[in-house]
Amino acid sequence: MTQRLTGLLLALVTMVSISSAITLDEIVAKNIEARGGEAAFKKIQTLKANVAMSMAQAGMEMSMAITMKRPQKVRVEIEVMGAKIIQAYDGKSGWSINPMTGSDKPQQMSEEELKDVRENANMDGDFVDYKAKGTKLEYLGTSDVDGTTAYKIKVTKKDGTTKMVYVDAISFLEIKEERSTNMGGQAFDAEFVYGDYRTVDGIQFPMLMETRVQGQTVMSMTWSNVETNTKVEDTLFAMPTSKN
Amino acid sequence: MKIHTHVAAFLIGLALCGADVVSQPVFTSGMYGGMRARALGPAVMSGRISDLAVTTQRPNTVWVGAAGGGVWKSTNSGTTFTPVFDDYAQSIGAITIDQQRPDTVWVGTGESWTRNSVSIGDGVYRTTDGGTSWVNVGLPRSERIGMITIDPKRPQRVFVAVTGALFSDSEERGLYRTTDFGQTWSRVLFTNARSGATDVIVDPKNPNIVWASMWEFRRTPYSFSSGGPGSGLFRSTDGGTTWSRVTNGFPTGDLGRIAIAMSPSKPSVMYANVESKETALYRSSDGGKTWQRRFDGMASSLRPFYFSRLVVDPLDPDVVYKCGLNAFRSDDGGMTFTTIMSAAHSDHHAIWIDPLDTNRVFTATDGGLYTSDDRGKSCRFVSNLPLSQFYHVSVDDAMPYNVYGGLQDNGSWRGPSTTTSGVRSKDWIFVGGGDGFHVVRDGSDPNTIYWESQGGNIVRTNLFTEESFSIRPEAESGSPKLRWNWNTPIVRSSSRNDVLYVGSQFLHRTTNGGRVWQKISPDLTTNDSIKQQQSESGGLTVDNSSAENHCTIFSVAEHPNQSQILWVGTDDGNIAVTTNDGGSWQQCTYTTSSIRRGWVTSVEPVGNDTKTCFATIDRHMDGDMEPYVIVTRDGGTSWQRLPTDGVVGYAHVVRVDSREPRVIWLGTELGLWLSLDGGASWARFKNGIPPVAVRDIVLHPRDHDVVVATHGRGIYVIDDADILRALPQITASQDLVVLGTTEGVRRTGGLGSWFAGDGEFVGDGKDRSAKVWYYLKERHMRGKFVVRLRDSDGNVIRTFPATGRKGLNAVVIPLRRPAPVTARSEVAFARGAFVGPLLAEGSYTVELDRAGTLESVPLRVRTDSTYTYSAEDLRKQTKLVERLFDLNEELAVTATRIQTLGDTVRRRLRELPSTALAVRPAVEHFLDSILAANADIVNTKRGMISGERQLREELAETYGDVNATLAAPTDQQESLTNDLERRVTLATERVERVLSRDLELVNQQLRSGGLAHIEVEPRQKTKDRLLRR
Repeated sequence: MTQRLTGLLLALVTMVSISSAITLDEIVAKNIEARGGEAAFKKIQTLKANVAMSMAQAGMEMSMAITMKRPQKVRVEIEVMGAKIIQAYDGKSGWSINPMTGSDKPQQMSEEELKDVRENANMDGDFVDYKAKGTKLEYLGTSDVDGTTAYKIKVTKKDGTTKMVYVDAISFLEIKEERSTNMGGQAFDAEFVYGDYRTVDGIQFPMLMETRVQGQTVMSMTWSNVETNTKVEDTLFAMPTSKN
Repeated sequence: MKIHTHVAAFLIGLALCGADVVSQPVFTSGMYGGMRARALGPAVMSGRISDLAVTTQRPNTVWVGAAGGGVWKSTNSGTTFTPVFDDYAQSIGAITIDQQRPDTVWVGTGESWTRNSVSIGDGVYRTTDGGTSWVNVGLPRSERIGMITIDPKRPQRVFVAVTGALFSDSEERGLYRTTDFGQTWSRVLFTNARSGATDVIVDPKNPNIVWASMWEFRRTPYSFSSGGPGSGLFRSTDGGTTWSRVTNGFPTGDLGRIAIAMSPSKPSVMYANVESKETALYRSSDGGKTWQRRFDGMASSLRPFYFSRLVVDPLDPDVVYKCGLNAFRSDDGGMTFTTIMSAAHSDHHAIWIDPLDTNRVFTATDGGLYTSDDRGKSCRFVSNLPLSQFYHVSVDDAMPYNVYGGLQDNGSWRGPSTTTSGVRSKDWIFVGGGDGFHVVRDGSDPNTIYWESQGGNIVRTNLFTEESFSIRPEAESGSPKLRWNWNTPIVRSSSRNDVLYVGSQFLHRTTNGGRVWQKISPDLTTNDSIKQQQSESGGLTVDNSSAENHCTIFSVAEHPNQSQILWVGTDDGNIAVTTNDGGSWQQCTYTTSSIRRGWVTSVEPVGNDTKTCFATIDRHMDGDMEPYVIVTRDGGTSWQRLPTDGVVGYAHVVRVDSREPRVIWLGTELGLWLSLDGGASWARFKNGIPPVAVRDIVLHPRDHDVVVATHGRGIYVIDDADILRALPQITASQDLVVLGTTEGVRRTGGLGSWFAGDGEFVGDGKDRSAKVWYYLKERHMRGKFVVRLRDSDGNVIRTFPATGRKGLNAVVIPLRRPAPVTARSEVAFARGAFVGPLLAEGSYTVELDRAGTLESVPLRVRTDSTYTYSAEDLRKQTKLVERLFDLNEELAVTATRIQTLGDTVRRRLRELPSTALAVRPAVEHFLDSILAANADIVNTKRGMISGERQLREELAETYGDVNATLAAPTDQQESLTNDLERRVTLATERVERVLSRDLELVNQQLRSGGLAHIEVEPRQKTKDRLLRR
């Protein structure tokens, strides 16, 4: 019993220390440090990975290959039902090939569709160089995320899109973010929950990203075979003019 | 300070529950993450809306403030609504938009339409970002707010009409003013501790002129009074600092509630609806200096405490709208009124008129929101606001079970607890009208329903013949008149199908559907005659609707295992018990220094223990908002109050799990709470449930769902809550505890739904997925954490990610194997091959792997019990699906080989040196034959509706058809599969010929041209690579 009482008091003391005044700059600095430091991020010029997307309720799985290159280039290829969906963004414009439309020709993506793609192209997260990127951050206090105390930060990007990022008050790693996302042409408010952090080339990388809508997991993305700084041609991201 | 209360609560907890609690971890509100409450709605009848506001610059942005269901925002004129206030008090009194910066909105919590069931608020909130975030800017003890008005020229100056406490005196009421956006407040108008402000308006042309109405009112548990010396209309000419009472033209004597409105287009024209002994509408055309009596009909005089809103047309000073039993409009300056919105629900509380098109009118009623485009001649119901205000809920044993319940002014209803495509308005059946409360199904006949309207009008309805029979017990000749609560208990015996109880001041029992009633108790109430003067209730306007009926039985419960034990609670504070089926009764004394008498809102005997009974005591009608949960463990002789630290809101209902009595649910006016330690400590259960009034809770005896009746947000269901029984056994030192699995049920199909647009609320259906449940001491942040599903031989079927929440986790287990790999097409999906086959019936093992630490738990998979397929049917289906699965994959290997070769040959053609002219035609011809072979396997034509259907598409579709059901395949599907198998063999043979004989011919040419030949890998290698086996 004494042990438990001590534990309880300790927990309360910890709570107190967590909620004591911390500044936005401190949270941002500690997050970047926890992730491996700014230098480690910047060292990574390209990143390739496989992502298994699992939708357990529907019993469905899809696999995705993602390739990123600085600055802000991204290409994803999704294998599903014997066809391949490609989405790419070269830092300026985006395009996609979707066999669902009965075509193998690349189509220019709309501004709305591009929002999620740009989000994928963000190699450093929201905090590294945020001022230079024109991002505005606001610290909104602590928040209980599934029983864990987290710092809640509102991110307003240069293009006006906003999201909430929750940083674990103990490890200073991102626990989740909340933003609007586009699924099958419909906008949803979704939560993206991070887990399974592992060291990849000096940075802490979340190998698991769970998408929740109204608190329910609708998709889990498991990253594997993460490779950094392999040679990636720029042409991979440019919209193909003709197909061979 | 905080630490001290925590420790105190903890020590009390220890004392109550014995030493075993020492090892239990503390479950906080955020630790039930994996267990969601699903909102069933419904929105078919919606619920009471107390105020609404619309952005005048952007008339598509609509804000709705519900009496008990929070704040909802629409940015598309009401097509869709989003709740934007779910972390705060759900009873809304007033919503006001700062029209000059429409993302700034002020919300006053606590409805001021002071009916008996009205809820409470906790002050004023303000958002500056369109409702994304809110700040409570003050007046936390205001309880009720009637109106908020912003100075149109100085938006930092805001007036708040605090109606205030309903059941007690209060100093925090009257008119408040801030001049700094709510940082500081001053009370600028106060008459007495019984009177609050209801209306406040600022002259738009001269904002130093402010009008406010004060109202003296009071409720007790058994009476209501409107009117008194504190009431009156007041005017300030110095921006609200000093005030003078306006009487010129008004009746003398006490006044009641006064509604005021000023013409926006001509502020010298004002209207006031003044409650008095002769309630009437008054008009002033000189800026309020003098008032003329205009109209005293029903539109003006009925229930001023409940309908007191006047709105002047934005353009025409002679057009004025009045909220009432109906919505009314006068086109002649208040001389006459006509009913508008006649197809809408009665009891209107707020009206909005579009200043840009005054034909466009919205009204807020007891039954939701209505819109009109023709000044109220016709109207449309907004069917996506699930604001339903249930008083009680019950369930039956159908598959899936139904829920039954009655609502404030919205009758009695039945709806399914789930459907495959979500629970829609069309799924709900309207059983009976009036105000609805208890609704229960007959013990044996699924078509017989017992329900009631207010004041004990008990009815039996046959849903098949649609006949209704009044079955209310009546007093025998010479016996005292029966007293019925507004919300009269109707309770079915849990063990005897034919037994039904209802309570007046006596407990009555029937065994034949209300044809004969037996009185099985004496008067169990205090029978205090002072509390039985309802015919005098109402104050200036007599209002005897049965809402104030008192000295009645309110709660009844039969012991779950011993039907002779009955517990009864009354509205006037008695708890009585019989242990011999009503033969004799014992009145319990539960009052102590810490427990005072109050409304006994629920009694809850506990199974396997004939002496223990919990109860909730609600004293809010005595001005005491504390939650009281009490318990006896000796059959009612002695009672203790359970600690409720952290719990807010007066208590309505307590329910104890039938098998694990440490699991206790509590519903209060401000939310749902859960204890895992027998009531020693509580945490709010959120997970989708806002801090809404929880009036009733049912624990489904078969399905172990928790069904929650809220008074403002409809019904919530927490599925499969039996898993909670495992939580009290967890010890604080355990890191990972596997709690169990929700079995897998093999089922297919679902009828889907039609194109309803976005405007209809759809309640969430039950997630029938198999799940593994586990507890984590801390959030899992680093390293691998996966779930493996193994068959009975230990083979891994699937591996998928675990969730890493601190506390309770639920991970869905896919009940299907992975989808077949299908041949690749550049232009089309292999429709039908979307998912893999369902797992066979039987036993499986679920294995959690947390960085190498393994924990296993069995999983049972069975076929849905409503399916009638024989074992042979199931076997045939499984067999054919597996054959088609393999054929799809075989063809995928074939297609991959020809497509890979095609890619190679195409590249070689591109790279062919100009010197190799002689070889080119042969290679080009070879490529053509490759493409031709491929085009016979997979779709290659562009266009979404090309109509093309090659072997791959046929195969995938046939697989999909057979896989879509568990039925034995048709003969056609069997023979079609034979045919497809032949064609796959032929296609494979053709491809392998191209890859060997034809390729060799091309290779000879390449070699003779001095070029490298083309190599292909062996088929088995392609297969291994493609199928990753």
